[in-house]
Amino acid sequence: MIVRVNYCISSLFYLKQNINLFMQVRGILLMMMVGFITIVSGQQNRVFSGRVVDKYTKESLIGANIYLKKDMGIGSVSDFNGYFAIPVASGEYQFIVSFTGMKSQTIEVDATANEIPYRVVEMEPFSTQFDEVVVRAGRFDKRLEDQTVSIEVIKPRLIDARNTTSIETILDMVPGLTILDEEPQIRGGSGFTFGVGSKVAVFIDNLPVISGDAGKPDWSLIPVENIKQIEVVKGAASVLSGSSALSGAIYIRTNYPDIQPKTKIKTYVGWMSPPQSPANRWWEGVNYTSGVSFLHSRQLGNGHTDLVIGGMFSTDKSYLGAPRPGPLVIDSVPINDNQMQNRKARINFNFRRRSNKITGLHFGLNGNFMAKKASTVFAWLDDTVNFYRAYPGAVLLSDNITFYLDPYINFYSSLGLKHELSNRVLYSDIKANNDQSTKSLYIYNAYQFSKSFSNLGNLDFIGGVTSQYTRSFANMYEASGSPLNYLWNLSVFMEVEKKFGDALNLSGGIRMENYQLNDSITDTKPILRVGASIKLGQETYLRTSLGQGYRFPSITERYIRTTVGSFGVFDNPDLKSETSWNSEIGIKQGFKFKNYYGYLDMALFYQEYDNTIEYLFGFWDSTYIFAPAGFKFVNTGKSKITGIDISVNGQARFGKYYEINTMFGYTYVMPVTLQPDYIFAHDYNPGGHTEFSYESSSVNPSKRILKYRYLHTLKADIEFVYKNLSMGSSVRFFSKTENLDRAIFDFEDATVSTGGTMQPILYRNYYEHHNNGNVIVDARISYKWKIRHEFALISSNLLNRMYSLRPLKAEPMRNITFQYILNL
Amino acid sequence: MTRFLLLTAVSIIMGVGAFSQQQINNPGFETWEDVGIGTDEPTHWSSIKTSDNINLNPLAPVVWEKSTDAHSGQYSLKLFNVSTFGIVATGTITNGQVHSDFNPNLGYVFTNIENDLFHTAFDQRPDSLTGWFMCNPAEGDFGTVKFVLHKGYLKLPGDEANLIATAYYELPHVVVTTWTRFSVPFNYVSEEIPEYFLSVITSGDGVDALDGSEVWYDDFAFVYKSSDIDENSIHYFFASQYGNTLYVQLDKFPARYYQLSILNTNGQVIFNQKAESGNRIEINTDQINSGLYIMVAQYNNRVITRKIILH
Repeated sequence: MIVRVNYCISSLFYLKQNINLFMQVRGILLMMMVGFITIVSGQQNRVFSGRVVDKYTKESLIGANIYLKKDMGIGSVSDFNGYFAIPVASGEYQFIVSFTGMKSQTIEVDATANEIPYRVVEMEPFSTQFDEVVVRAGRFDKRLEDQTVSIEVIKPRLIDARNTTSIETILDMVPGLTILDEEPQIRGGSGFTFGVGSKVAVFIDNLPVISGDAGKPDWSLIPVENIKQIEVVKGAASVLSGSSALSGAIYIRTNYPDIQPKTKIKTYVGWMSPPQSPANRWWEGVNYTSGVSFLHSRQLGNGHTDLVIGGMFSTDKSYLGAPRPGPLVIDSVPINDNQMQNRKARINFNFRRRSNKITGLHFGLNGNFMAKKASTVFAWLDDTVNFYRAYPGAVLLSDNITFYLDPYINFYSSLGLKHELSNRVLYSDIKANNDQSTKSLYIYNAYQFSKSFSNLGNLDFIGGVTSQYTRSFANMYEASGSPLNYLWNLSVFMEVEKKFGDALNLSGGIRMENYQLNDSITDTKPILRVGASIKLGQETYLRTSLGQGYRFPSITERYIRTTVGSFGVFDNPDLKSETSWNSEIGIKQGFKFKNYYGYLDMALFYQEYDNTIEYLFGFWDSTYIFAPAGFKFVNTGKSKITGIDISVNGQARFGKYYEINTMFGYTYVMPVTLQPDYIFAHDYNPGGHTEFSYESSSVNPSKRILKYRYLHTLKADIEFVYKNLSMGSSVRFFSKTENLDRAIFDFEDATVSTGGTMQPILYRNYYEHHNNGNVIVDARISYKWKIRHEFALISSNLLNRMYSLRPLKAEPMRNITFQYILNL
Repeated sequence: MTRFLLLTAVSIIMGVGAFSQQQINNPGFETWEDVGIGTDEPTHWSSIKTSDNINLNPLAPVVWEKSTDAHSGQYSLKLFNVSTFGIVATGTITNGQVHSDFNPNLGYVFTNIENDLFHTAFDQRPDSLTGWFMCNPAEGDFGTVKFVLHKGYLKLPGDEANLIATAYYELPHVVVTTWTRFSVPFNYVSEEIPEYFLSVITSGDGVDALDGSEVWYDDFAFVYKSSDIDENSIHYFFASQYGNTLYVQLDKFPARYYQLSILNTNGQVIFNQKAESGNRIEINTDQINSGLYIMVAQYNNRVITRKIILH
């Protein structure tokens, strides 16, 4: 059965403020009119008054309609603080209270007495799952079902429920999105390159958060304590999201204050469980994790100023221990366990001011400052006893100072014009071992103009220009001729969207990207997209889209030249840009089964990639002087990915106290090379030049499946709520890794054959005996006490599974965390 | 062990003088030492992991092992080729020192006259080199044995200016599963007295070696001329057994017939045939028991003898 689901527009805060002013004026006018009528008629001498609030958050609902059931012409709307007042004559009435996204209520009012009791109307949302609103992922502020591309939306409920301290752990719950050792993969659209040159664009409040030099998302910078919503766009999205959105984009939106000030303090302490095999435990005492975060948001200046301040501090011992090389191995950079500790402190703020004098003008400044000390492990010491220890030379210790400032100014005119000027200055200073320190300055500027043309049948237009400038200083990029490198990207884009009736929505867009690197390398590329969505039934929406993706190689990919242990990382200034295109057809179906309300979303997709950049091991130095062998980013051949995405989200309520929330997603991909024999590189192997092709560089080329992909992924989350008690569990399943670089096995052979003078790199045995897929179960239980207090016990990897998702990297053992949240 | 004792006894019988001459250190690979590379090396021998390139030594593969399948004594040396990242490291051992390089074409073996560990002082002029082997070559590959006598510095390949004599033996290109003796003469190119000898023993054909080849070596020995053997002919009396066939050849003699005899250790003649120098004789050993035998080539009043173990 199809159920009508209204979508909450509460997230459209800008609009809400304007609407609110309008409603206030309208309410006053209404009151004046009613007063006038009362005076004239002399009959309506009673006032029915009250307040409309959200049942669960107790926040005022602005603009709720309260009208007489028998005569909809008599009524009012709630004001800025949710209050309303309606003059009535003596008698008994039935009033309807309605609010978008909430269940309408009918209330009986007895106005026969002289005074009518003051009423507080508590409105209940249709479903906490259904208040999904995509604000910008499709550039236009459209409802999710009107979007022409596949978009997953994650609400902050799960963030606290899972004690998310870094955003990638929550992103890993999104169907079709996998975070492989901090590197995002959408629908199998990328392999694994240690995060460098991400093929998924990441934004905070529509501004990129990928480092300018390495093209790598810095997840730790994202203020998880202040997230309003996360939107994940699947498939090539470069027209909408710019370069890097080769296989998709992630939009993270932060919160602005509601009318009621909010203060939230969260603290947690946890510990890592000893691994199943005691021999794998490398630490003494308790391997702890702990942290505290806070958030305060409030409106100031009569509601014209928004202020959000948040911050956090966390520390953990690291679940991975320092290298303990064999007796014959010379570790050039010995590291002890204490140096593996991670510490992070961050403070962020959002400041927004709505002009008193100029209606529709608002401006603000967002900022975020982070200091971080971190250890990054690239490979394990071995695949048995030292599963949770690092390989010598494969640990990057870094001290990071990163901050960004986002000044912006927006103007929404009364004619429906929207002008938005957004800017970001992001500075990063990373001091790292192995002479891999970097300093980079990234400046982003964007101007966007949008208008809905009513005279063209409500044709929506959006256009704009963006500029991204990166200045990077690092010795390891000296292969360009200087440690100082510049990258400038200029893009122009436009998109139109038109709705035909209530059913059909068509959209199309074009973007022109231009890159300039160090005054020497330029590249220009036009990108197109078209899409359509059709409402087939009351809650049945069909969508289809065709879009292109484009990514210009990062400074790191082109110019990195450094050594890691005995091996090198080599530059490749001749790298070409990656391109892709994506087509899909999807259907979104709302349904109700007894008390269960939900949505089924299913999409079939086809993607092609060209010039895909991969990280390959070889003998890239003809002189063998800098380093005899090592890694290099190279363009490989063409590939295609076909697959299906299925997600089901919903909620069931039983009576007043029981509630079940569910989230389920399954993704199947078939990523295959289109050119298995294409020789895309030669090296200087002294045993004879190696010809690199998919065939020659793969462990298992027989099925032509691309490296580091899971064909099947399944994500599910279920939560039971009874009054103030809730229990939930998440399950993630990743099928086996079908293929990987043959160099990993070659490394094993080479290191083992040294007889102990090199630390063996061991993976083959693990791959052959444990590559059967992984099921990871998380669980949580929480209790809310007197609204303000929430206690939770959370466990990730509940079954304490010893597992690995990418070669040579151990995933965390079971972690148990006690969390306390104080809401003021 | 019995064979070893017999060999020793016969050697003593045939000429005490032969073993009073300077010999190879640890020729049967009976003693091994820990030199800090994780895998013991045979004493007085050096591998690619104790090369002069200290940066590459930790990366170099182990291409040898102490085998308990010995021709005599407890141990023999097993060499094998290992391929890593497409580069074949040839199983190599030397009494000198290896100079290793990522590019195999730039690698060599040399007499490190500065370091006692990597050279063997030697001032004799042996007549030939003998040794024992088994081999399991990859198709198209073969092991090699090369000993050179020289003065001063010398490297192989590359700098042979101080060369005095060379003994070189190329192992069969086929699988040999039983211990087999080889004997090769030193070919002298100079009348000078050597200062060193340098050996290069491999399981593959140098830079063209193939992955997987294996060779077992044991009981190397220098052979010196004895009084009952023609000075000029000792170098040219060859014998080797493959399977059940014994190949014998008296080479570089003026073309003439000689009498070839094989005697057991009791002096009984078990084989006798007239042969022509320069031609190879094939003798079926099916009817001959395994053991130590003496081969005698005789023409006019001159006698050449060789000892041989038949399997």
